[in-house]
Amino acid sequence: MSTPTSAAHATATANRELVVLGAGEPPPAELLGGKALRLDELLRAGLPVPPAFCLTTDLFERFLKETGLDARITGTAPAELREKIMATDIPASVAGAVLDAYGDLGRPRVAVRSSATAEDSESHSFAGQHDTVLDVAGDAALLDAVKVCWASLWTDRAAAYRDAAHAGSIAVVVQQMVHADTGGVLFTRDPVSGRDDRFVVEGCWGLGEGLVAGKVTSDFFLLDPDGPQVVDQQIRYKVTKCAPVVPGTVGLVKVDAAARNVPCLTPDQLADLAALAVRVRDHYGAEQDIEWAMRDGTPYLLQSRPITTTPVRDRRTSPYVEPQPDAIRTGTLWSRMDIGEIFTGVMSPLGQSFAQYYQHNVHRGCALSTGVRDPGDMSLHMGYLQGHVYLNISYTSYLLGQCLPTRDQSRFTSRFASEEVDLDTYENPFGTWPGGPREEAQAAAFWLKTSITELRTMKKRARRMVRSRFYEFDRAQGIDLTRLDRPELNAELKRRLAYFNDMHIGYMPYYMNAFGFYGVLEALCGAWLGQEGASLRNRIKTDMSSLRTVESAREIWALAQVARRDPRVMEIIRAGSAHDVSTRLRADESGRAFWDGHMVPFLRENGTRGHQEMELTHPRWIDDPSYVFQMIRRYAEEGFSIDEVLDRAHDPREDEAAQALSRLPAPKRRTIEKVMSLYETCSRLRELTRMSMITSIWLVRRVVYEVGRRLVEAGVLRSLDEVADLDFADVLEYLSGDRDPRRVFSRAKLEEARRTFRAYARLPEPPLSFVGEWDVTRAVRPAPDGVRLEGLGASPGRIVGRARIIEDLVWQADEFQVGEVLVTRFTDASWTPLFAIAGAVVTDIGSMLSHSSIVSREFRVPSVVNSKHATQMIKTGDLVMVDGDRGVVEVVETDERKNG
Amino acid sequence: MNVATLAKLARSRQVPLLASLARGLVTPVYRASFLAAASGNGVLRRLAVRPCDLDTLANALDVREDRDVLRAWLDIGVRLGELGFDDGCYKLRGRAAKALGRPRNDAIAAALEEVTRFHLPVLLEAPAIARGGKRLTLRDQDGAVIARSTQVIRPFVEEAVDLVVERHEPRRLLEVGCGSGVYARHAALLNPRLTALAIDLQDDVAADAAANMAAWGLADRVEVRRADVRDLDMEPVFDLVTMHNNIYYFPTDERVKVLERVRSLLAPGGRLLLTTPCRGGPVGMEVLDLWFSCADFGGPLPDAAELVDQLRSAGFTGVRERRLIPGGEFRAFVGTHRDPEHGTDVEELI
Repeated sequence: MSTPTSAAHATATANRELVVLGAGEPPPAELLGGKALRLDELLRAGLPVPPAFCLTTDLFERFLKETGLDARITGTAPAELREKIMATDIPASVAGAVLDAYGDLGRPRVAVRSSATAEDSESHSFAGQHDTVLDVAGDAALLDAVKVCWASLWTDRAAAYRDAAHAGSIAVVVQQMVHADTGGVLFTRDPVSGRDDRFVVEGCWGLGEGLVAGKVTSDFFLLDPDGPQVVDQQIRYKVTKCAPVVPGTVGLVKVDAAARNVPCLTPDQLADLAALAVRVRDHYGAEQDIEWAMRDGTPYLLQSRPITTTPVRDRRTSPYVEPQPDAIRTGTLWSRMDIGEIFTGVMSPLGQSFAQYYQHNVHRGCALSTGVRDPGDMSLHMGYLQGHVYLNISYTSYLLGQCLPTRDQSRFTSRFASEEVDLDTYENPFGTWPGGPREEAQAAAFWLKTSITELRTMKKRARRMVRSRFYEFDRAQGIDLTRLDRPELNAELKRRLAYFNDMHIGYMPYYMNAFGFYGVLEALCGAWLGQEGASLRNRIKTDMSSLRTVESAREIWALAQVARRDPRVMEIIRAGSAHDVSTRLRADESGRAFWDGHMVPFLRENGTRGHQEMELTHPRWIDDPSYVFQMIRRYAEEGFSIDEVLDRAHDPREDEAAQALSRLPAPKRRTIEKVMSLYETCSRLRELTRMSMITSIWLVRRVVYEVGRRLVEAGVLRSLDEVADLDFADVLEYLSGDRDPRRVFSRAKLEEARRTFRAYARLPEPPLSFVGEWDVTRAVRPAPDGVRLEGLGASPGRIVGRARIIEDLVWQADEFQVGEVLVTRFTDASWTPLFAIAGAVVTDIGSMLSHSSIVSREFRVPSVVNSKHATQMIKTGDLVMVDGDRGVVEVVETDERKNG
Repeated sequence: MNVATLAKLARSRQVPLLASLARGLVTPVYRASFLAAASGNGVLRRLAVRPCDLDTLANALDVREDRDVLRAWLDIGVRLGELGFDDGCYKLRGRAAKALGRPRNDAIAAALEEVTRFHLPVLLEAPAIARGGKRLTLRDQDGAVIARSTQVIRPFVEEAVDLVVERHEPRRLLEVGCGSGVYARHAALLNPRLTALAIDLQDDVAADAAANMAAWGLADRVEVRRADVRDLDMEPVFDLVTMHNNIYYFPTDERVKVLERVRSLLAPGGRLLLTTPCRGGPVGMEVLDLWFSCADFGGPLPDAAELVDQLRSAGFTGVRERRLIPGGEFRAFVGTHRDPEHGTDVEELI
């Protein structure tokens, strides 16, 4: 029997349990949790928030009570509670109420997000510690998603940072899903400079989630809200986006080729966002961090929270970690030009801290092994600026004064100086190596002894390094790291770091000696051969088959040939996403045979390659072989033979050079030939042993990711993606004792690291080399009218072809067409297979002796390196002329399809 | 004694036999037993430092009540000529006593203890055990004595270790049956980057070894644990496994299984070094063999050829065997756990 009183009561109850956000009486804050409360406030302020309703904490409590779960909370482990919730059916009355509200919303696709009461309170940053389920469709899926959110109250990661007894309660927001064309975040204060008259917008194609998780590339806009106008922007090449793959599943998909180079927001859209942001900021009277989405030109606000972090107060402009005297600080030459192939681009906090580990534990041995008697103060050798790792060229060349061939600093210095640096005005603040006659004699003797020993033992050591890499690889493959306890895992990491140490120290002399002999050759050719000598030294040929990097292209080609012979295998490799080819291969009988018989041996030889290998977060081929499959697709389709590519047309200028050489008197000729042969030997050994060095990094990476896995399990990390935010020193500390991981890895530190890293990633890159300090706010942007780029001609020849910018090797390898001009920031060994089909190679970074230069010479592909801005100035589809002799790249014809 | 009795004795010819036995057999057994005991309880070592009176020795041996028994025992030492008694103090007199009292001969002293305490009883009891009597157990052994006595062959074992331990590369060693830990220590000193796990079946032996490692400053590199290799459930993290003088602690029919387990703990390309006395050595080794035949654990000393076969059956490749003592039966066996496709042709490029 229903009376007016009880009906009113029922409504009141209903209001307390299910609240349509932004409608009716404002509900009590404690029922909604942080996220829902703010959405309610934004809706009430008339801001464009997608319609949503909230399952309040009261509804959650009723669910617990009616299912009898409430009595079992105390004393039950979080994991068990979660399982119980997931296994319990939502009582009909509760489910009915939820589905009614869903019906009122129009049963659209929705995003279901948890909104915990303890979240975002003053002292705790719980943002993101509870779950979100995107793109939910239908009643059953909705109820499941609700349970996922409820259960997230007791996720380990939430529990890890909170007194378990005070888990609080949880509300759930069900909000209409915006299938965003563009998504991202907006800060009403520049997180880097701290200026509040500047808004920072980061946007990416697709859902903003990809950006927040750091999975996709984003564009950067700096706005003056008073215009509003765009003050600065960085348009990046955006290959992937986050989008629903099938209803209910969100994943990474490719961005249409035409949209990759285009800003993801128009000036008008940016103005709309800025205007909304001003309203939000004024409504709260505080600086805000806003998540937004853009659909069909209409902006939506998905979330807003106050910016809790203090701005970076003294923005560093010097790579020095410790304070230095003014003359040193302002006079030091820094470069990341050649170290750019292993410490590339912007590095994650993990990558940087690992670089620091290298600096303080391994670099000293590397210096000694190259004949530097006194390696000096290790803290000065490397520097860090804006997430980039720099080599201190001034200090290094000062110390190299101890070695005979580098006593004159200028050669070493000029090699590492890019064109931004004016070497005429540069003077090494450290001066020249002082050393009285006694020190000088000692230093020279040490260098001589080291060098003689090196020449005597270099082949033997290379053999040992190669053998050990297979041994360590096989050993590592046999060990299930998850089964080791903490002390055992610690012993394992120690061992791998010791091996890492040995391989780096073992590698360095090949590197330095190749540099040294090349310099001698350069000098001899210049003195004895004049003009013809210049081309000779660039044309030094080493035996193709001996270059390990080239060999990997040949092996992928061989793999492709095997795959082609079995239609079933090829069908699996061609179908669907390259990311799950390995799983599908192993599930199939023929596929399995191919995997065991060919993939496994291939990965044993080449699997520890990846790109920018010092960056521990990058997966190697063996961790993610999708790039290999992309290349197999490419090679198998083209039906060309790698041997044909390698035996490209004979270059007549080689004969001229050979003739010039033969005209020399015998002693001079023999000297040049001897130096050439030494240079070739060192380069060859350098390539061979580089794989051992790379393998040693992979070995360390494995342990770090195992630690990451344990941290995710313990709730310290939200996902494996956060391994990137770890400090390597903390990983060492965690393994070496039995301390509670929550104390070793402070959540605040992790989040700070992530924020800083993300702020760096959106800034303009610091230059490849500079003297003294570099201030991002005064960075000059390259003039866009010069479509002519000058760099270093690394491999001779002229060619005209369509450019293709490769931003992400793994995602784009299969787009690359035979004969196209490969334009990228830099290349490393993992790119070699692409060289085999490229018409020319152009890179932003590099030197005559960097990897890309050596390999393009081997493939006889014209190449210009160190072009600085090629990836920014050239667009995919542009017709470009690459002149490898003069080191010039010109855009001959812009791609009309895009510009029109 | 009357003449008739004398005549009777003379006719039976027992007297000369008795006299000859006393000289050639009984007295040596007495001396051996006395010396073994005096070595084991530290009396020889103490007297080697300085002569002591009865009270001092009684205190040292913690004898409170029966000082007379102790005196009687010491006096027998004097009668046997091993001890002297002078001015109220006992001192070392015999050559054997003096030699065994020196710390550097500790291994020999322990070997003598082993003979008297383990070899003699098994010679007495073997037929009874064969009839179905109670078999010997691990508790019938004194791990500490065995650990000391095997020091005799230490230089030979160390030589074998020298041959298999890499000197520079970071390596991980598993020592099965580590005893006092001297061999693990030897390996650790050969390669300063080597870390090890040393296990022993017996609690007290493992505890002593752990204490030794701490005293040697190796605790951070060598972990000691009480464990049975048969139950050791670990990942194949080891580059080298060593088993010194303990394969006979496993029954013959279990050895292949034990060796397989050992192999499963090795990285591909990792090696096993096994040292052991083999059958066909001096009679002392045969008695040791008999002891293990009478025990409820372990088995006979291995036959060299048979052990090579067992290593192969357990999957080891490249099995090699060599005598550590020229002409002796103390041998080292090395086997590799190697995947069939371990080779690489990359090396040829250098």
